[in-house]
Amino acid sequence: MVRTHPALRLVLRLLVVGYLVMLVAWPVGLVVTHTFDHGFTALDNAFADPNVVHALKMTAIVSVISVLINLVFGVTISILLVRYEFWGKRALSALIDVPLSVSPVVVGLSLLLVYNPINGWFGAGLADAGIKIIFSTPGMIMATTFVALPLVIREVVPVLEEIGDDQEWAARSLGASPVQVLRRITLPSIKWAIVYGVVLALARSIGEFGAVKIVSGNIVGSTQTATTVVEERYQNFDQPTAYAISFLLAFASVICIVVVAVLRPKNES
Amino acid sequence: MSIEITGVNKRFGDFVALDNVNLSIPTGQLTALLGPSGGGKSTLLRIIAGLENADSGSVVIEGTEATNLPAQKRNVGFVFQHYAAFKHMSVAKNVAFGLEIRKRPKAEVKEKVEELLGLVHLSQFADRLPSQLSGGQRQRMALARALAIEPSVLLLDEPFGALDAKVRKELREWLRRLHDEVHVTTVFVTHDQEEALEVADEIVVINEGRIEQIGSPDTLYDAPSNDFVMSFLGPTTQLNGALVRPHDIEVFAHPVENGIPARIARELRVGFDVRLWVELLDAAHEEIQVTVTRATQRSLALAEGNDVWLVPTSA
Amino acid sequence: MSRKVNSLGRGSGLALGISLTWFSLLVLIPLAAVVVKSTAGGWSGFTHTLSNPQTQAALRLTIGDSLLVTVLNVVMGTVIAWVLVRERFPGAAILDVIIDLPFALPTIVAGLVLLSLYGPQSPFGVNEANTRNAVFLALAFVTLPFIVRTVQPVLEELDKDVEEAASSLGANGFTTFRRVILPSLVPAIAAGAGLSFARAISEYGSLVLLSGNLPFKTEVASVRIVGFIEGDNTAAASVIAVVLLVAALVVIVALDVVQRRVSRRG
Repeated sequence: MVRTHPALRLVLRLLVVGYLVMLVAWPVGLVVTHTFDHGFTALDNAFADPNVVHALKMTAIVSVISVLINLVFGVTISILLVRYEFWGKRALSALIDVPLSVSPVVVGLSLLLVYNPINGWFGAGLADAGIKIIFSTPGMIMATTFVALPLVIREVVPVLEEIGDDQEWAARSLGASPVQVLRRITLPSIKWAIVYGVVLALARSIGEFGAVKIVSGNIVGSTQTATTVVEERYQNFDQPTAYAISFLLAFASVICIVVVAVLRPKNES
Repeated sequence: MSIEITGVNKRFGDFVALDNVNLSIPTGQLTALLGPSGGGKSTLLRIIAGLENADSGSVVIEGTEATNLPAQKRNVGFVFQHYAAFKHMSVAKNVAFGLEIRKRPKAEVKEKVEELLGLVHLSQFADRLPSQLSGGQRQRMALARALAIEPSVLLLDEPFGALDAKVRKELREWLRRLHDEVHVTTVFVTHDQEEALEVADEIVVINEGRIEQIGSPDTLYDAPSNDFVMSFLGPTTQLNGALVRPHDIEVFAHPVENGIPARIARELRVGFDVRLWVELLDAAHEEIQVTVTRATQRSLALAEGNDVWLVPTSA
Repeated sequence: MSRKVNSLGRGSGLALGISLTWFSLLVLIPLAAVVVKSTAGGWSGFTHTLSNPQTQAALRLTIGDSLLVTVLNVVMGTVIAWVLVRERFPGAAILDVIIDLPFALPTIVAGLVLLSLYGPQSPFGVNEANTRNAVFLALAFVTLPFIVRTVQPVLEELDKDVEEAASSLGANGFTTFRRVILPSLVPAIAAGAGLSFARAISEYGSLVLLSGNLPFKTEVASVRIVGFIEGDNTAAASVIAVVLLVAALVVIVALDVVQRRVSRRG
């Protein structure tokens, strides 16, 4: 163990604590205190506003559906990537991470180019069939699903690799069918990884702003979500409501990371 | 015959794991597949179990053509080197797994699990999780789990390889006794010749994807068909251009007829045995190894620097 | 004809087919559309968009600040990871949660959060809203966890024996750190730096409220893209998007090369 000079250690600690307090802890704390500047009136007012309530509902609907999609897709892709051999597997594995490096704004733009009803690649045809994606819920779900897509996979793949396939082969040799192996062996052994992945994806989905703003058209009382309503209210000088909704969003995301932090060490020991 | 393997080939890329293997494994016996790591023995076992598919050739188990049968339909019990315990299930649930898959009545499952846990001496651990067991206990659980489905053959892949030396020796003896009780056709893979010699009724020596020799432990040890088998089954040394076992050389302290003159260079006592490194007093001055008992060493007063005469005794 | 045991069966083949179709519809085809759209006006369309002074200013600000923030993170992220792993003090567990906050907080909230301390109502009277400092601050906030979280596990796994061996051979603390510890951290730092840069150049949400989006001053590339989209000029938006994608790719590949070279040498 490197013995660091006590004075240097103190300096490093102060530097780290100071940096984190100034950059994260204090500002986040201020949002909480701003929200409760006048007791619960800001929150009460926010909840009394039908447009705000609608936006919160939209966020809930969009997040839950896109998390469910990412759950099913993520677990399926993870199992395929780890347990099977197929052509193009390495390319797929690399492409899966792409959404993490793409700007939410570019995500919005890309979906717009393909699905907008006027001159989108598929949008025009879908519009003729009566299916509306851009400026409505399906597009918002797609944008949210896009940005959170790798999160479940990044949690599940390492766990699948680590547990290996011995247990699955043992189950097969004992007569279990593929479905039974999946239900009784594979899924129970990756349960916690799935939970983390879902919690992270949920946090990401609730907070998505840029991509959703572009594909939703940000129509007040219709396609507005919690995050886009924060922007609108702040810019329209309704700061108490902006802070109140921000507090709710921050509260939800803090709960998500606390859940992950509490669950994770227990499972790894 | 319980397992009939005909013309099996298997490659992994350029690597030939099995090269036209033909093998019959008799019913009710304990057969060891013995050979160095990477020699193909585990691949052969996995092909029998359906965990791997052969490139060509056929596998017949108990008269049923199994070559294209998936693992879950072969009714084969498989025990993995690293136990493959179902980590999220209790010991009893692990053992019950195959029976529950077969939708046996609850009472029957319970009775069978109790019986098997008794057989592997794990009754008091029924409700524990595998992580709360020692390695040896986990492997016994895995064995009970494989036996629960009353397999037509029981396959064990280096079953004791991950255990420490003492537990390995205990489990080895226990496996032999268990087999004498249960009599299921058993095939196990090992790279440890001592394990094979001690436990098996029949040994199949496999090297570089080919079968070198098949026979009883005695046959293999006493009449190895080639140098590979000879050297794999025990220590050897070169004498007069032939492989000899170090303890199959008689040592004399005085000149004898046909005796090869040599001088003791070093000696090392290992328990009951004494290992001698002797330098042959011929042109090449080769050094070879001879093993004698402690009693011989004493009675002949063998010591470093002494001249001795060697006579190979093997038949 | 032999069947490979882990090759696709009927069920898994179908699952792969559905998954790939969905992935293509959601990610691959839309991203391809961006690339195609960016070339719609040919090479001249491309250069025309990029020769626009406002666009150039936005790209310069975005890439320059992202590089600076990444350098800051390389230093601070490593120091934070070091303190979290090696020091035991009350409140360390809370710091650990604080590190994750920028990941978890919605970006629009992150902007508001920073405004509350560094905006017009700042309790200590600085008002950095609508300045270049605000852009830097927002980028530092959202990219804080990347290097900490990639370096931390490596530092935890680092063999104490190696350090002890180094000091038993007479190396002092600093030499041990520089010659033994730092080289083993480089791959993790590089990986984190790549993620941090990619995130910084694509940042949008936290800047919307904080930076004021002033052209030539605080307008970043993603704000410019939104501007073009709202002005119905998706071709120009796509050109900037492709530049961002390429920049992220270049940095990630470059850092990957660094990472490989170091680990090969180690």
